[in-house]
Amino acid sequence: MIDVWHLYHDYTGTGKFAVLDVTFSIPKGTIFGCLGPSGAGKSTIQNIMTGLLKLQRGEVSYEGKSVNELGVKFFNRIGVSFEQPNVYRRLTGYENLKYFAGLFSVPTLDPMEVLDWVGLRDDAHKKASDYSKGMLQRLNLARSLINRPDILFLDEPTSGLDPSTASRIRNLIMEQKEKGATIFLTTHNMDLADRLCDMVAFLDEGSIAAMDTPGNLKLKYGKKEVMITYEKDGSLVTESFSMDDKAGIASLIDRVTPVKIHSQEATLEDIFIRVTGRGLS
Amino acid sequence: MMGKIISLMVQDTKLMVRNAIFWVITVTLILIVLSVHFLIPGDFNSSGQHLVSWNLDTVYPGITPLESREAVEESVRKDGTIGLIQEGDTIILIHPGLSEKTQNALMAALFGEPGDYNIRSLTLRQNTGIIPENIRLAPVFICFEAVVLGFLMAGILMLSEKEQKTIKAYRVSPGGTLAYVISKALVFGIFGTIYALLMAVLIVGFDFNWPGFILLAFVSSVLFTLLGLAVTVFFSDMSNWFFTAVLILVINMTTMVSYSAPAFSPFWIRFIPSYTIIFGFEDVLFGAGRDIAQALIITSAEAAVLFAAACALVRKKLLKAGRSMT
Ligand SMILES: Nc1ncnc2c1ncn2[C@@H]1O[C@H](COP(=O)(O)OP(=O)(O)OP(=O)(O)O)[C@@H](O)[C@H]1O
Ligand SMILES: [Mg+2]
Repeated sequence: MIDVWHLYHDYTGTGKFAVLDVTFSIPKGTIFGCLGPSGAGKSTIQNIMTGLLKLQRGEVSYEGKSVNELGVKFFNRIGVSFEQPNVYRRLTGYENLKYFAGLFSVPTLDPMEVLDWVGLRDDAHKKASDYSKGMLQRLNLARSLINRPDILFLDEPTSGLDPSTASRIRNLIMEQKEKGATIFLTTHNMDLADRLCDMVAFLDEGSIAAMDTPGNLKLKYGKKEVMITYEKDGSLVTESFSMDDKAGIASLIDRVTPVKIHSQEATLEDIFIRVTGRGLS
Repeated sequence: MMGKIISLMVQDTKLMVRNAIFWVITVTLILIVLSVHFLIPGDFNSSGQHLVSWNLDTVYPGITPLESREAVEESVRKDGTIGLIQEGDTIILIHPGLSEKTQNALMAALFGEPGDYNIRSLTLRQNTGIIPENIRLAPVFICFEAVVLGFLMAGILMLSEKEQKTIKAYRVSPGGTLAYVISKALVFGIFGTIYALLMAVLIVGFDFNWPGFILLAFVSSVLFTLLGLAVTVFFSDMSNWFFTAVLILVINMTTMVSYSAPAFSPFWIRFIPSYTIIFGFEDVLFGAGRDIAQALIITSAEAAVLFAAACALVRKKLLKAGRSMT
């Protein structure tokens, strides 16, 4: 169980908080998604949780123990994938994992096996400087898994990946959860969050605007919509109505001949816009 | 702990040999050795090569007769000349530590075939002026090429770890400060020693105090690596770092002046680490068994202080910067 309690962070000391009164907890073995536009404070929260940034105010605790009191042992248990790929460009993918694995005092995985998980087996012996952006991103993720962590911090693990690779990574994250890992996931990718997260928090300007399971958020904020497409003066026009707006739907159908009618559930992105009044990117 | 350090050492070694600067340093080493042998004349400071004598039967051209045995010894001690004294049919060769080969060559040149005289050799080890000037510069070259390798490489590797942000990954690993510092100190300590030995053999030959040389080269290389780590934590880009690194090297190079002109030795110059190191190398290479314990002790003590400083700085400014310390 990870508890984050009334967390604040001010980089500049001028009272402009990058993180403002954030509280949540992540039960063991679940995935917690942190969603929000650029600059919302997602990485700041992750960095405080991993001990990279100073805990200024509030508390972060693991099984009741403050992040400030955790020693080297804690780092044997966690895996961190950073938003920007940070590997040794002069080492190969394999070497990057191998020497990183050497730092742990717990059993580590075979680098080749982990590279295989992220689809880099064939490029294992290429220098990282010859990797593409997406390959570097995957190498970063692979490095975070090498010590079989039971707590994972993943900052934008699918950014810059094509849909099929992204889905491979999504499955990999799901497998980690099935193995019992507790995961803090930061992403812009609403589809990924929707499919993976047990709980999501919408972060906006440093504070949590809404937090619930994806299903509950949709029930609470998302209205189902009906889209009606018809022909007018030789071109297609689409109008959308709330599912509740029976009168509106009826009157349109009276006036025109629909070409297509379909209903659509609100996405997390729609809900985000509804909750915060702004888009995600 | 051992496993961690070894893993980091292999990594640091690979990163070093894949860095262009390392090969620049290596090529420079070869160029220095070549120019010592082919470009720098052996006698550009010929004042040290005078021959003086007392009581010789014959007057030889080029040998300055002096008024007493004491005057000859004084001259050998002070000016690094070579003295010849005759006692009956024995010639005593008084010199500041010439190799046996050089002594034989000298005597053969002066007196022809051995046999006419008994020759006795007496070493006064106060001055080494007789060593050809190009060879005598070996300690300086070794100090500012092989020994500073660690200073430059530690700095360059740390800067690239900052720039590529791999240090962030290290910070959330169980690696820790000690393993980080010890690994680099050992890798560059070992490579600095190998390069120093290479230069010593290529310039001076095989005739020197090997154990003393290896110890001094290792401790000095470690010292400069630690200095490199301690300084580089303050920089995040190459250009600012480079200026400071050059400044530090230049300050260290002022001790070269004392080495070429022993008259120049203001008290402060002894506090520059390279002072002890250069004179230590001189003793090891040319001193024919002269005691280097003092140089080793001073350099080790300086390295110990720098180890503490490097650990504290790496921990505070590199590995735990911006976070609550535990
Ligand atoms: N080192 C820093 N110094 C000062 N301000 C910073 C620093 N890092 C981040 N900030 C500020 O803190 C706020 C939150 O940044 P953070 O990186 O946490 O956002 P994010 O949600 O991760 O954004 P993104 O989606 O772009 O990664 C931003 O306003 C940013 O400008
Ligand atoms: Mg971020």
